[in-house]
Amino acid sequence: MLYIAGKPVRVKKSLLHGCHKKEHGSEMAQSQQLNDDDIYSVTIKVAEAGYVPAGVKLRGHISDNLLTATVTPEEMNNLETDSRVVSISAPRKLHSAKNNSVA
Amino acid sequence: MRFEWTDIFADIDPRLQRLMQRRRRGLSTPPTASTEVGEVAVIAKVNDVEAWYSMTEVREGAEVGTTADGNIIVTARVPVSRLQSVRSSPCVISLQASQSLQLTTEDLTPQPPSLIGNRDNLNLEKSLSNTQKASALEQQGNNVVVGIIDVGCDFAHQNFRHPDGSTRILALWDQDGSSEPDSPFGYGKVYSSAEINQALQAEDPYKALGYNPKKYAHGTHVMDIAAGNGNGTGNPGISPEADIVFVHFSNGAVEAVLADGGNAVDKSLGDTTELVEAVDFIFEIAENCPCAINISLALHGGPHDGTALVEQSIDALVSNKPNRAVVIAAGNSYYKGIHASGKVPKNGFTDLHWDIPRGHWHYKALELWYDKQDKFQLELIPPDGQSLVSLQLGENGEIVDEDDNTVIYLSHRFCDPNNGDNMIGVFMESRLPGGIWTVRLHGVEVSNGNFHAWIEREDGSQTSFVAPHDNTHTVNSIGCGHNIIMVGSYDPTKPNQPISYFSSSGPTRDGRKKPDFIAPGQNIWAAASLTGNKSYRKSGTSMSAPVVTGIIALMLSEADARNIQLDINQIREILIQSAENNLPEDPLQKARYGYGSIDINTAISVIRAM
Repeated sequence: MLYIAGKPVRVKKSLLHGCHKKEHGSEMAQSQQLNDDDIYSVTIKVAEAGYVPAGVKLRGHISDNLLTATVTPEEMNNLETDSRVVSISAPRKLHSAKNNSVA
Repeated sequence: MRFEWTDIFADIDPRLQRLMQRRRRGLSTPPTASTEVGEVAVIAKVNDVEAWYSMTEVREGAEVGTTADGNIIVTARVPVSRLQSVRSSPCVISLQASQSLQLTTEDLTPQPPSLIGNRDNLNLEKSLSNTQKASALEQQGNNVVVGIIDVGCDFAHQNFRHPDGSTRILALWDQDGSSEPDSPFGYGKVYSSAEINQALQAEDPYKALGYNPKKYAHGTHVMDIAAGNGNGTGNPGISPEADIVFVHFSNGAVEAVLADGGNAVDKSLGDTTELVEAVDFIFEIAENCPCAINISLALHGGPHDGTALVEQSIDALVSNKPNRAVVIAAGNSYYKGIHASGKVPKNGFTDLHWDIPRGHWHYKALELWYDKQDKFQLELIPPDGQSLVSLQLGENGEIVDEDDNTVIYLSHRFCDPNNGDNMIGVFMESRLPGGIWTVRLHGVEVSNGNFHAWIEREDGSQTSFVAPHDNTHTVNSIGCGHNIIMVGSYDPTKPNQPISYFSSSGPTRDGRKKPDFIAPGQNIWAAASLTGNKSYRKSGTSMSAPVVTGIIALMLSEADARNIQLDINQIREILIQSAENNLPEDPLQKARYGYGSIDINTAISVIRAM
């Protein structure tokens, strides 16, 4: 039995699969327990200029190969298998760059 | 009840110790009439006033007098985060918390000289060297759009209004505003200049418009530095005639009230997708006008090689048309111990030690990148030394408690889709035991072995790697794109204008020079929201970035007047030619300066010679 600070914990491992196109360290990648109702704003890079993957709700074109869209977890899985999708950026929270002396 | 020893620096006034202990727990020190959030007013006895003032952490107060033993009593404002460093300076004999200050967030009236020193030396106009002032130039930003992506736009402040009282703001997109069918990208509310002008006629323009920037708004201060005209404060920003487009960035702030009544505020804002859309929106509004956009927002984690989609997107938008630039703050993390690097030996291991203070209740994340040709094994060891888990490349996993709640999530990812490198993520939920956590990297297959790791920013308190720290590579990860101008900070109020103690360091993970330039970013006075015509002081690379944004606006204005178009490569090249190149010898320090500070007159001369 494993413990952290005297409290029992256990390890659940899995092989990373189905998320090869999601970008590094995204909040979405942290949790494997996404709710079907959740929606995410994402940036998608596509291999073919102007291509919009099926199912996503297009928000805007950034360039020929980059677009922003709203997706559900199910649609995210579809993007993973879409050969014309290169990578997907799930949103990462930003912070102001004032010198917050606290931090 | 139980007693616990602490490791708070003990050789200092206990009242300051308490502030340091509170800071470690994520409790901020509130602002007073003369201090910013996280600062404390101190009285010190020093043996060398010059050495005292030369510390960039020290915001100068009064020189009170000489003691009988020949030392000098001084007052100052010091970040709580730097108290130990300041107290440890050989010039400091004693350091005490001031007891005379009153808590107030209302009074923005400049304090007596005895409290804040000579204010005339601290305003933006005088913070800039002669070569950085626009006043002597023909063009003052005319026919150029300055875009600001930030939080809190005080459209009613006099610095953002024409002499006739009308607004200089072409459009204000509140990403948190109520969505309408024609909202950009389907969300938020856009206020046109006509709507703003109508609201300005009302007794309460904020209520009339339905938008309130809130007090001490970061975005108003930043906007004033880049483009304020000084009509209210008397101190103009860099490009006072520019038009303005402001995107009020989506605000995801979550405030958690701690048990003792203090606030641990997660000050994270909107996300990277909303940022990309904000950049696109501003360029769309600017249409064919030259446009320089300022982003004083930051992130620690990321590949730091320009390949993240947020960086690729900004690169693409900037290069899509000439006369476009995006300027991003370098970040304020130089001294925080948030970066580590090293080499993992084949069949051996390297440890990273992550110092998590007891009682640190915030969510924490660590991100580590290594070469695609290598294969590491990740092992996580908590403070009690019992190994929790090992992860091979390509595995992920989580540590769950008895109720199946995730307490730690780990990912060891093969081949990032944007750069092909491998990446480790460790995401720790709150309420984990404090102490030294070990991230052990085993070399399974090693041809390169190098790695870089970053601890993500945690507002309110910041965990760190155990010292000694590698403070290189601490620049803002969203600013590492190839077409982005990144700006660090120096203190214009000190002799020799030293680099600010907080200003983050390059290079990028792929070895490029970042930040690109430095600019005044410490003790900068600029517009205070909800005051109509007053200013207040802020520090950070948030303040230095808009200086360069304003400079680029002046350049674009000059070029526009001569029918010259400048693409981003030309803009960067002119800035490099105009840099004062007064760089330190020490390569570690040199990595914080980029090409140095910019001489605006040289930049304008280059354009005039084109």
